[in-house]
Amino acid sequence: MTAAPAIELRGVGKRFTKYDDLPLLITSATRLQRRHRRAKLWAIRGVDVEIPTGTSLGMIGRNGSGKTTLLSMMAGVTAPTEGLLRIRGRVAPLISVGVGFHTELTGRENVYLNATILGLTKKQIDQRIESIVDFAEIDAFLDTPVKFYSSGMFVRLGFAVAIHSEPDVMIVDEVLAVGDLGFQVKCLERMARLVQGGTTVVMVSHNMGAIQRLTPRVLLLDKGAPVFLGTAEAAISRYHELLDEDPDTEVDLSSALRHERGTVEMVSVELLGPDGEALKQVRSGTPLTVRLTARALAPVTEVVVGFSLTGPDSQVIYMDTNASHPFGRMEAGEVAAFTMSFAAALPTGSYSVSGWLQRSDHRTVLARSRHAAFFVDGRPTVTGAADLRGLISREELASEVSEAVS
Amino acid sequence: MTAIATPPPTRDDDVLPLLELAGERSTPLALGRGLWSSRELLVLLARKEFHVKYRRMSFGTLWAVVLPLLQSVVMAIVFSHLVVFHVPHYAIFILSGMAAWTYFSSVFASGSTAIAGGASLASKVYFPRALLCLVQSVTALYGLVIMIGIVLVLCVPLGVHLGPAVLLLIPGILLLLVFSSALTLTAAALHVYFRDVNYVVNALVLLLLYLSPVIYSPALAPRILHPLLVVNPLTGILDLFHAALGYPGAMGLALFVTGAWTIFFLATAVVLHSRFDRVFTDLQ
Repeated sequence: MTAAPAIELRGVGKRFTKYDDLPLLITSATRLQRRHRRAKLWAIRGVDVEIPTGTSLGMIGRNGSGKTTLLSMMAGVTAPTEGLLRIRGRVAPLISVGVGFHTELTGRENVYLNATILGLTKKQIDQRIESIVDFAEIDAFLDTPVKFYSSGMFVRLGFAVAIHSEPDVMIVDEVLAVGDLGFQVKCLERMARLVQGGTTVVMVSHNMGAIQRLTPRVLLLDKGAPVFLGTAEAAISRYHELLDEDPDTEVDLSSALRHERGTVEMVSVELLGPDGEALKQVRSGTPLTVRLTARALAPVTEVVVGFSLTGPDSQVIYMDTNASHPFGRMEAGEVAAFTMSFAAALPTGSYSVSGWLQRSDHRTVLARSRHAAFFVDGRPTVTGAADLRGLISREELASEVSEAVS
Repeated sequence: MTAIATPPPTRDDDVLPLLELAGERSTPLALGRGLWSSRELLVLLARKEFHVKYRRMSFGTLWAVVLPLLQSVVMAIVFSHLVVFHVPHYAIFILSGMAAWTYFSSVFASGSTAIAGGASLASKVYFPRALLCLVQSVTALYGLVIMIGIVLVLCVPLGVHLGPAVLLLIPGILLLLVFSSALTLTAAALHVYFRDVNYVVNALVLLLLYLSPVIYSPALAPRILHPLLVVNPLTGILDLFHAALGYPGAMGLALFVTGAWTIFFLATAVVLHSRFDRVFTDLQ
């Protein structure tokens, strides 16, 4: 194995030109139209990273942080505007699964096409097709056009080809978000084994659980610049701090609710651990407290406070209010804290909590908080929406068995 | 299961391929190497293109030939009765010209939008983008070969004597291939940045059929058309096709002009593709 890193980025930046309208050949040639409305913008700039051979790097960041652009450059799909990018080894880009798949072609034909795109020779594909079909669990449908495949089969076949191309460097973009849960676990295991076998993996994901399991080193990007490079835990914590600052993540509660401004002002939302310390990352089952601090600008007779917990798929997984027993009057200028305590009985993933104050008429929202994001480091065996702490046991029914045998 | 434990396969067993990207430009040499190493992909993509076009039809791949053949027959009937060109064995003349023309026009028309059209594939994996155009050059070969076969077979019942001149088809086909590909590569690169290239190409295809010696012999063309026929890059190619079947053409000068155009478009294509190959997908 060479000592040189598999991937080197030195001051890498990428600038895109954004056209409002694409120019026309005729107007450009005749100079009828001097300048086209266009803007140049840096999608990402100033990235210096080395990824040693046989290690993995995760890349996380909010939308528009430049992750995908950086990944495209590593895949060689686009070239950097400035800086130097060096990649040693054969690259398999998994920016989406089933690249080049055509729905009219059969599974087998698509495997050959897709694997050739990923850089395999016909001989190599001949040797691996059996193993690919095995992994994808589609053997009965190998000679069926893929347009008759379910979306799950399609994804499984695409991923199977990519993983069997056995690249030196694997560039993965959010592909694990697709496919059923069982297959996702299988893919993660396979990728972990690839890394052990010396493959270098770069992965972009919004799935913090996958990031934590697969990439011990994580690069956090924000607004087109690298913000943090370090352990997965630290990077995930920083990422959730960034999510807090994001004003766009407010939940739209219900269109039936009227928003009344100027009566109550939300001061802060905090997520506190068992000892009252601010938290960004917790173990599953940890007792937590959300605390909203609000100031009344005008008197309010009865106050109802509500909280909601949003899960990794941006779905609200819990919501509760004290509508049955509203709090009493708030005077103008009065500052109050409202809390909800709960146990983070959740599987691994990114969550956020937010709260709001409303009048007891159930129709008027007075103030909403931002989302406080946090990461739950769940029990490794648990998947789903909640960790119910189920107890799995076995009961010996010896007498019945012996009866059945005799 | 066990496959994963074996060391990752590499093309050269010891030396890992090294990709170095500094700036958007690429070199003609790197481009050439990339194209050479993607030759298997080229064949596979061409086969896919062909299958997808014709697989689900009852006549299958026959359609690739039936349409140009039908067009030739219609033209032969119309022009030999309405306009008299005084060309012996007019059917053979028009069919041989249409074989070359059909190849050129289908490669030019579909290849010039190939890079922008292939964005969904190209934005996910790198290969030289020129490949997307060359796929069209390869796919259309099937129709060309069958059309030429039909012409040669028809020569027997129609009493056209085939001499050693028929070998001129080889340089004819080669020139047709290289010229069509070079022009298409240039047009496809421009089309990424100027979307009206599409219309310019369609207009050219429409006009060139009548401004080239496909339905008439250059010697019998009206005088006003002569300068146009001389600068038309297709004249040299069509001359070779016609000469192979015993028809006199302008030859010489026309061939020289076609050669010059081919070199010009080839050079332009190399310049454009070395500059933009790695960033064609940025606009998508």
